[in-house]
Amino acid sequence: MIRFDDVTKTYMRGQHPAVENLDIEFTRGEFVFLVGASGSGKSTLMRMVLKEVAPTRGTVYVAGKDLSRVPSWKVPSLRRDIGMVFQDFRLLPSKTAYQNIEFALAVIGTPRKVVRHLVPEMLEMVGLEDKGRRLPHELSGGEQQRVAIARAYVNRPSILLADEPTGNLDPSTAEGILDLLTEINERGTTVVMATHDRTAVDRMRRRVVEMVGGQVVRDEEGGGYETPAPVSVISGNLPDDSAYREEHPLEDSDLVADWDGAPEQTPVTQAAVGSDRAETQTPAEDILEEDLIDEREALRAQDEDPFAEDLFAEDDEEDLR
Amino acid sequence: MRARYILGEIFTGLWRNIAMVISVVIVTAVSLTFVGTGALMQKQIMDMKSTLVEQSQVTIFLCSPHSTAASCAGGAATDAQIDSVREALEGDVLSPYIASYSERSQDEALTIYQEQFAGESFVSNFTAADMPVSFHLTLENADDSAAVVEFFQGRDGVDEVTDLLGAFAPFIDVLNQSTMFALGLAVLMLIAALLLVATTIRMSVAGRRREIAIMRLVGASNLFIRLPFLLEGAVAAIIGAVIASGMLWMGLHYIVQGWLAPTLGEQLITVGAAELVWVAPLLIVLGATLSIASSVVSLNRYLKV
Repeated sequence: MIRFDDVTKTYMRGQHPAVENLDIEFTRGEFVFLVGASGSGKSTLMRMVLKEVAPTRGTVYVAGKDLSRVPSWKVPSLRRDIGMVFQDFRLLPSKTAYQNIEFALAVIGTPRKVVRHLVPEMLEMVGLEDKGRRLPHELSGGEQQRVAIARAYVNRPSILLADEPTGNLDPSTAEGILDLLTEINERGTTVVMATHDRTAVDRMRRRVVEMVGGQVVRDEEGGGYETPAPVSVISGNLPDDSAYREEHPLEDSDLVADWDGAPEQTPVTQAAVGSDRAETQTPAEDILEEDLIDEREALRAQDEDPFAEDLFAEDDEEDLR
Repeated sequence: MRARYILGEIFTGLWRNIAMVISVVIVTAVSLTFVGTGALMQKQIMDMKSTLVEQSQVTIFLCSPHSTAASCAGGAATDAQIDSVREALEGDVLSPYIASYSERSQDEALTIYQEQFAGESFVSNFTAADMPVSFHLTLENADDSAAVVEFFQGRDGVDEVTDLLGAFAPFIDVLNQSTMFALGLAVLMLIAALLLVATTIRMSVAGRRREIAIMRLVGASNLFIRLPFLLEGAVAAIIGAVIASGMLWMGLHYIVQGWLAPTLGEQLITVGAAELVWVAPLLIVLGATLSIASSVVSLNRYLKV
């Protein structure tokens, strides 16, 4: 369904790649948790699936298609087959729950008749059949996220990407959201969920992929949030400190091989430190001209892209008039 | 497909940026008024040239008994003098320059004179003998008129040689210069209008960032996302063009038809409010095209796929 083939993404020339040598595949109908600290590359991974950003190196396949070969005019139809849910819901504040879901259908030209039939069905599925006329600010966080999920799923996408969907919610509400995502997954949609929600991961026991500094350090079927595996940062086995990672980049096979089993103190061997340092002190030279890093693209990105953090945060009052 | 949605978006967009939209409308209106004025002046020049070409461009009046020119010292032109003019017109020297000519006898001149001043008491005092014989020449090339005028001017029996085109030359010059001036202003204003459209589109895009973000996320096509913005710019420009047409109508109706035409003569001033039939659509198409072009450039800058 989704396959990354040795994918590296560097936003700015000379910076550490957001995603590095990513080789991973999510199959149809799978439910995958992506875990890892902020900035570990989870969002970049999702953006590449949506063709929001193009990989600097390597190939991304979605539904069997090489995304670099999908022409820009076909990107919309690619995205119609992918749903996306965010931590901050990203509902349109001036539209009711019903209208928010309707909007996703209307803008891709769905006939009115189909819309009238689909939207109530979605509201019922997410358990908000009686709250369709409420505006987002009249709904609780969990309800807003349900509307957002309904909007993402109303086109019956074969992939649903969820970027920390429970991050703003209390534990019991989060559980409800997770059940909803499970239900969607059971209907055949591949769900990829980036999360920091320990309880959720532990409860579900699905596939867990942990990313650190742009690399996959753990890919565990039926795993929990924490793991005894030595390279896991979130389990506290390695310090979560980007300065530390700069010095000890995860050329992980070495690290795993050198691992002697003692957690917490992380004494990476001196030899490894020395060789790693030699490699990392010249990051700029690693990035070749042909890597085609469009700095302007990166600078502009915040302005238009749906991932920009501030996009839905500001001037809500204006729209509530 | 979703006409109502797009229409709604256009009007929301226009309303959200109402101040910018008003300035776009005003600047477009003013610039297109200048464009229209320039076009009308050129039309006037063309009309004038074509009527002058249709009519004889050079007229040779021979002496009448009342002529006071030095060459008419011998009184009315004699038959010999008339013949010599006729011969000169037919001769090898001048005939290549002259497309055709007609001769107006004293009787014909009297008839025209009586028609022109019909009802005036003094008309009956004149007889055919008081009238001059005249030759009305149409030249092959209007530029040669000065040479032809020079050839006949001052000949014995020739009272006066008039060159209509020469007489109108200063007027045409003024119109041409004014056209250049109007078009220069129009270009300046159009540049301002285009930049304003670009800025308006940018603000409009910024004001709808969330909607756009969601639309891109759920896979709305590029055209669908852009169409409201394109049409928004076009609507503003078209309103501007309509206002420009209105201003031109006022100018044509009150200034040209109400004052210039009566003052300078209906024959001379041929343009009128009727010209708006082609000027107004031209301005609307021009305004819409330029604004859409500007919007496309602006959208490519501020709205990526």
